[in-house]
Amino acid sequence: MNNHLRIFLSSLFLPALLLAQPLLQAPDEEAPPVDPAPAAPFSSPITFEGIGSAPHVDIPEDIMEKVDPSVVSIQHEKAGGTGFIISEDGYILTNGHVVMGDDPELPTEPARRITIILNDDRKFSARVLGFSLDPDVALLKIESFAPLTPVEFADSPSASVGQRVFAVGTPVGLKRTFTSGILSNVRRTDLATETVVFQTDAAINRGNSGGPLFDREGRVLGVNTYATRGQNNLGFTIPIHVALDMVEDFKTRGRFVRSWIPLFFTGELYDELRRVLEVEDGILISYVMENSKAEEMGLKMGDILVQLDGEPVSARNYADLLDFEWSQTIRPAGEETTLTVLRGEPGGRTEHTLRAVLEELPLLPAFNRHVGELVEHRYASLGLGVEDYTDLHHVIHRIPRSTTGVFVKTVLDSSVASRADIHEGDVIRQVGEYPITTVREFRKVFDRELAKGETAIPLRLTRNKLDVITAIAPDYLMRNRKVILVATNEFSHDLDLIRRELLAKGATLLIATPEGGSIPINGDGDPLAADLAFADIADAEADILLFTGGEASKAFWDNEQLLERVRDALANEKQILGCIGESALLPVLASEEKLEPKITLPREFSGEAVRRGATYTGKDVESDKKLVTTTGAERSDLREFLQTIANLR
Amino acid sequence: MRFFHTFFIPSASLSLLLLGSGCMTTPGAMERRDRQTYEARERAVHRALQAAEPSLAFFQIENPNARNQQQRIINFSGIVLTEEGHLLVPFAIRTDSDARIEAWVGEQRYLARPLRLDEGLGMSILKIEPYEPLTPLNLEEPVEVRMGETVYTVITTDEDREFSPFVFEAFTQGIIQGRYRQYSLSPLPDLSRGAPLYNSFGQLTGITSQANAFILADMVHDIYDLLNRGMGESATGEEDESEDAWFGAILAPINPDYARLKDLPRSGLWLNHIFKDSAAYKAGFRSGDLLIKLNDSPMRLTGPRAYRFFVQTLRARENQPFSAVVLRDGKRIKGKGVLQKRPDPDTLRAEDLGISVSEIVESMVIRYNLFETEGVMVTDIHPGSPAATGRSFGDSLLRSGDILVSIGGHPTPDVEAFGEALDAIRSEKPSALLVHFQRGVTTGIEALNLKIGKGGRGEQP
Repeated sequence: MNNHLRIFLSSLFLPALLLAQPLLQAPDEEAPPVDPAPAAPFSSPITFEGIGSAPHVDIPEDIMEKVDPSVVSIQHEKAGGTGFIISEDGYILTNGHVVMGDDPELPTEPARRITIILNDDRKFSARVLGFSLDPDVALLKIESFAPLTPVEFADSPSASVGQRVFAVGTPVGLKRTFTSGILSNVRRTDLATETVVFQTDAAINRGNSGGPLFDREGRVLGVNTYATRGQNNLGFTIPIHVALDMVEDFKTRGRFVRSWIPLFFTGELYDELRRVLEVEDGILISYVMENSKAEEMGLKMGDILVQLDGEPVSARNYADLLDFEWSQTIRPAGEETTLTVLRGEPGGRTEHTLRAVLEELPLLPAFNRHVGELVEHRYASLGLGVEDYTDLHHVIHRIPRSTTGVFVKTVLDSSVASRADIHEGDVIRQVGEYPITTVREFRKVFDRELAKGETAIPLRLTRNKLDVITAIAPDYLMRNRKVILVATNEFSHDLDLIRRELLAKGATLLIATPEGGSIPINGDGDPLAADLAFADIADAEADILLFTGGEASKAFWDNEQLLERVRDALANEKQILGCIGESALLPVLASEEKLEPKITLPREFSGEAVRRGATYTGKDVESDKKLVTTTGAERSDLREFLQTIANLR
Repeated sequence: MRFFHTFFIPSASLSLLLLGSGCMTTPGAMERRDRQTYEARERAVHRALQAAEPSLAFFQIENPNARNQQQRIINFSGIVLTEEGHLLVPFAIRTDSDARIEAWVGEQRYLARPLRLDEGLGMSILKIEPYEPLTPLNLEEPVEVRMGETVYTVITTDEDREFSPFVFEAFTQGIIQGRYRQYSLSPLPDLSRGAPLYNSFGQLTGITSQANAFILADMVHDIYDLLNRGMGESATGEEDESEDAWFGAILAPINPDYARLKDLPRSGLWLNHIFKDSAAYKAGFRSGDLLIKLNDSPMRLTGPRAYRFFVQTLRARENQPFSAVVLRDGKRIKGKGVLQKRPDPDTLRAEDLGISVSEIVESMVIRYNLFETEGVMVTDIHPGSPAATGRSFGDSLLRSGDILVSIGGHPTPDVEAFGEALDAIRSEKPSALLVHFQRGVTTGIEALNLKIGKGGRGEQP
């Protein structure tokens, strides 16, 4: 069912509720003070079921010892957090925001160099199997010869207010820290999250993110995630059952896959609605999208859903509704479902049985806590990023469904795109004379115009209800410069980026592949046609010779044709040589004597380079004389690398 | 006309020439040529002073809402327009402004009130009630000066400064284009804003603005027009916001790169949307036309400045005729019409629900990107009301921009129907009210608790 949009939309209009912030150890944020002994919220002893009459009793020492080996510290190139081991063979749960990368164009890309540190200080390199920002959960895997100590899980749906809890983590970068408190609320729904979350007064600070919240028995109740900035004793925890619901998808699909019937909204039957609708139980259908599967199955706005697959369903409050929605979200796509609804006015209602098949929710656009799942197609040189336009854009950004085109995701400040008065949220419908409906069509037409070196490319946009005509006029910093881009036959986002940016900078681009064959592009894009085979490179004239990186480019190392061409380039003062990642070893290998200019390259090859007498600096991008090298680790490095080359004359 | 540019004194404070103080002497060693120059300047200053002094005003505005002390009190100059006490100032002072404005004319102090405002001109007329007829400044037949020419501005002052007239010298550095052109001047003190500007022969040429001076020749007609306009009229500048009269289009300056590519005028304005039944529509213009000429003036300037040019050239006033030329499919199309008053949408405040609603007019559909026109749009949610009280604090059940399509089962296609529905509901006295609405592209259903909010008494036992 359609929970996400329900949540999205409600959160869209709830700015006051976005007070809770993720706890990632972002270096630019001032650390809130650590509260070593949170005050008890109640002044008199209160009895809670299951914990006797002593909410202030100590957590038994053996429980602390029991949980400690399962809690891990997470560090990577950008920040860090906490996590916990859920299986002997090394699966680890944490928050999505702890491990996400910082590349806005590839929001599903996690951080690249993640290290897990156990309580005994053993360190492991970890892989991210999948992550999501709402629910804020990630699954990591480490490989350990010895079995690890997993946590035990509590029955989080039956957690109760007042229950004694404690948190373990590495707040504000401190070593292992235990804090304690109670569950203050187990049904928080007002943080614009997709599920209910727990609230606790156990001190949770930045760096606790992704750490466990334990009960008195040392069983995990949830994954700590948000704290409220500037407030004391307001921490939030994702119930562990929600996190565990996502684990299988992370393992098998690499992402959390939601199910839905496109596309309708539900609403809880709160007291006033029950009275005016004269109905006791059920779930209100408040919106059914025109021409959608939901409409096709016969669902109508105003229906009251009373049974699902023969079982009664009801939501009297928003928390109930979130629980119901989540239970449908995690069902497998393809499953048949039967909805029984009441229709009509009070007193004269008729019952209808509707059937549908659950579908996979498409990739999400950026929205609220979601940075999105759609890959942005960005021309950084122009300051323009577009993505495919979906039904979700239609609802979130209020774009008429009849509008077709690509959605403008990014317009960078002071860019060519902003000069053209293109706005984020516009839909580009036409490039030149060609109507476009997908990013694939856009890139085809737009790249062709760029390759022609058009001084201005006319665009037709839709902005809300207006038709806007403009033109984008690239600066073409590399106009009249001929670039040979030497690539393998394998597609990579990096290759696509390099090609795109060179076009946007106005370079005349020739792509060379081993046999001159084309390079397939991920998804449904047209393959990239090559202009040259390696055999032709020796005779091809160029101002700039660029070698792509990646594992497959190790094959360049012993290709004599390429090495010869690199030697020529090094000897030619007028020619610029650019090498990315693995290819950065090429100039070292090609040089018969010690390579004079300084270079950088991935760390694992630096030993080889140094052994052969090269001066390795370890920078992200190195430029010396006419040789420019980069580790190619980040897209931002690639962009800096290309800009450095563009600036060289 | 002589050029004195080699003698100009760059610092404004140094260029203060205190007339009649006797402190200025001619150095004996001065060359003959220099002496001539000096005498010429002295003559020019006297001429300016003679022409301006009886008609000068000096103002002090006290703005209680100013963000800092420095901005709290502002001093500037102005000129007398009529014997009855109409004063011209080069500021947009709203007629509903609650700032206290004191005006000195001669040695007399008055309290001034803002009377008329023309944002297109960027000028206001203030009114005082003089004890005796004032001497208006003759604005007729102003002359233009050339670049580099020396000009003089004269101000009067308040009692702190013993009502002395001060003269400042500057030279024109260039001309800033626009519907109303301005001289760019060498620096002058802030006090001179609003003071008249003269050439060396004592001929009126402009009115000093912030760092510039308006070229009076461009605006004399419009200043008198503003003076003669009926009370309460104003043109607020924004085309689709004008309270006074309405052209009826959403405009966007043409992208200069696109214009170059398609060989179109770079100062054109797209008529992105023409509202039905507007003056622009009746004149034959349609969405997608490119406006290139207005009231016989070719459109000038690019980007946001093109809007301003449009607003200033249109001078929107009810019943004012206009003419325009647009390009449509490469053809020039001329149209003319008469500006009309912008239609006011019906509104209604429903206190018991806690909302204000408005009829949906076409401009709202565009501005708020509405997806339903059969209904009334919520324009305001009253704090603490049934509509404002949602699931949690800050989460109201209804929101501004929602379009109500029915309340309590009564359809509400317009404000009148909404009012009737409200009357019916009041007689039915329900404890809760079902509301169907459209929000963005989606629909919604909520129930308002009518027992809460102002006058509500909660649930009865």
